[in-house]
Amino acid sequence: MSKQTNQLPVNCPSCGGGLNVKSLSCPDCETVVQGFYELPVLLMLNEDELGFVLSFVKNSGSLKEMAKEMGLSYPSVRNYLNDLIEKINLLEDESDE
Amino acid sequence: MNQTNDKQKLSTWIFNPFLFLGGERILTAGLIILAIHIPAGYMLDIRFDGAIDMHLVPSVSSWVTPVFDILIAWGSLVICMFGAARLFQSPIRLIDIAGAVAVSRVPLLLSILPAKLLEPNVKSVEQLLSLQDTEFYQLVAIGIISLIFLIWFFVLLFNAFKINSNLKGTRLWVGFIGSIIIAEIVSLILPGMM
Repeated sequence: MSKQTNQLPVNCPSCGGGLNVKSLSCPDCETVVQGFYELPVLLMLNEDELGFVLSFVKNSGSLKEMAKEMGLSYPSVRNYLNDLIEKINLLEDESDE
Repeated sequence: MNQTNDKQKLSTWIFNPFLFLGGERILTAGLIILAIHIPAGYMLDIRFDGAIDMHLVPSVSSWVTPVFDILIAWGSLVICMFGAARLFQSPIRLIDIAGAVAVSRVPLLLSILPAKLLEPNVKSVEQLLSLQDTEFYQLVAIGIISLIFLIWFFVLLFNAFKINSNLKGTRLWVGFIGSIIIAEIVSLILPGMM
């Protein structure tokens, strides 16, 4: 059986607010580090958005190449990028407050 | 981005092909569609005399008429939509909107078929108003079918503007409605000035 990878929750299932990291553990020696760590902005994106960012980097930022790879038009990919930039700006503003 | 199933994909191709088509591909498809308007207009006696217009007329005397008709109708919409999007600081590209506006005219072209097949044989407005029975129902059928194709045309135009401008909310609606109205006025005034 393949190992199931759980998706990182970024929002509280109870109130919908953003989550922070309270503890981290080493899978080898099981050392646990406790503290209060804010999630980096990139980790607050959902799976699709993170996939888009990875694809953007892998394609050296070429939206034309991404459009070909995704089977979408150039304007569709550019719109997705613009919306993502807006979301990142919003997340950064929220974490600055 | 979400995976769509085949049914959703088909409806997207019918109502919003701009999600998949852009750049040189949509411009090429658009230019072919514009070119089809010319023999269709000349041979079937149809005028495309307005940005969003199509009229059955008694006769189109020259090939030049549909060429000018389509260049003015298409050009006015492209320039107005491009201008409106730029006014709202959208990163719109001329090649995309030019191709998308041309592709959006497919429903207008398709509506020629039922209109010509069901066209009643009338020569004057008086004759048109006195139509009865079968010919009257044919006229009503043309009206309903044309309306469906017109709505499809507007849905395509709206999606063309929305996808290519990436405007949202009030800016999207003001830009779209404003550019349609101005393009229609320009396309009606321009032929008289030439």
